[in-house]
Amino acid sequence: MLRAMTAGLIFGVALFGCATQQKEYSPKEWREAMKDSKSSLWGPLITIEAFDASRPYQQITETLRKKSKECLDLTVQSSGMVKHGMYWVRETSRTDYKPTLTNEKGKTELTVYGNKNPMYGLDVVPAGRNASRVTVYRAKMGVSDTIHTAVQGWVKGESVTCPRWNG
Amino acid sequence: MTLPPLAFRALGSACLAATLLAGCASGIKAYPDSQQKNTVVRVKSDRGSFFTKTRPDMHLYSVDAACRAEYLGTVELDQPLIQIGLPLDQTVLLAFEFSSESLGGNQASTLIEMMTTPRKGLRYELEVAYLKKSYTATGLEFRQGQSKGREMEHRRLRDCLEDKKAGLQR
Repeated sequence: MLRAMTAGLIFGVALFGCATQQKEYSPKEWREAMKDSKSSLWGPLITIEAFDASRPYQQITETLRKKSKECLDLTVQSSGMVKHGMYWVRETSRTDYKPTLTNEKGKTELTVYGNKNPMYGLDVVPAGRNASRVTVYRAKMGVSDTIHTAVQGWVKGESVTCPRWNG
Repeated sequence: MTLPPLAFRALGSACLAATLLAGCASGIKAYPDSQQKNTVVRVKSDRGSFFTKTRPDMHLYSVDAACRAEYLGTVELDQPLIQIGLPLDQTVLLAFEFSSESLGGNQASTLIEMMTTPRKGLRYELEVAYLKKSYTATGLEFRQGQSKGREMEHRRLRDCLEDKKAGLQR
């Protein structure tokens, strides 16, 4: 039951980016919780995937350092009309995104927070001289997926554009 | 912190971001641009569609040593090439707002920030793109006579406050 609730919270944050969450996860705790959530009710909507990128580890790390500050460190605000009973009222939501990049013991970890909750994680380790092994923790849709499309392009050296957050 | 039209002190980074966005949405004034032109802004924008209008704007703030931001004005990025003058010898926050509004009244905006301290003799080139599937806002700083520029830092007002706080705690 507890696992299902935790998975639900993690998934909600990864998907919508604006959910409120009681517990603050460290990047390591969040990755562990994502692994646990794979076997929960929300499992089919969460993915932990690994792939090889044919670029040197240092090069990928530098790209992530530059692009994460340029594209993932921002504030997104949206508002729309929502019906409350008989009346239409304007509702506004705001998400403050913040990427953190750590580089320790031959491993680079990128974690993207939305309103202080982790919502996207990516680990990179060297895999030979000119290749790297990449592991991604994310939801299969929503904001987490938007982030992934951009980050995957940077890692593979296929794209340098920032994601478009606001439709 | 002086922001249009609200003049209040933001208490934390979240409030600051909200304030910048709020400042962008209302009480906008044109950037006076009385300085010597030291900056070129190159703009690519698809301007949206019949159903959705999009626009990029650049809001300028001066930031003091205590990380307090004072609104200087806004430059509408509605031309492919714009020349402006950034004030010298003071930290300037450039807040790029990418906003969209749909026919149904839904609004959204993304705010990314850059900080720099313009110096005499240096020139700056900013590239701003608001395209169908992406946006970018990057900048280069050039020394006199140099053709290769140094990348301008994507630094937020929040970072300034956090650094300040960390410095005080040490």
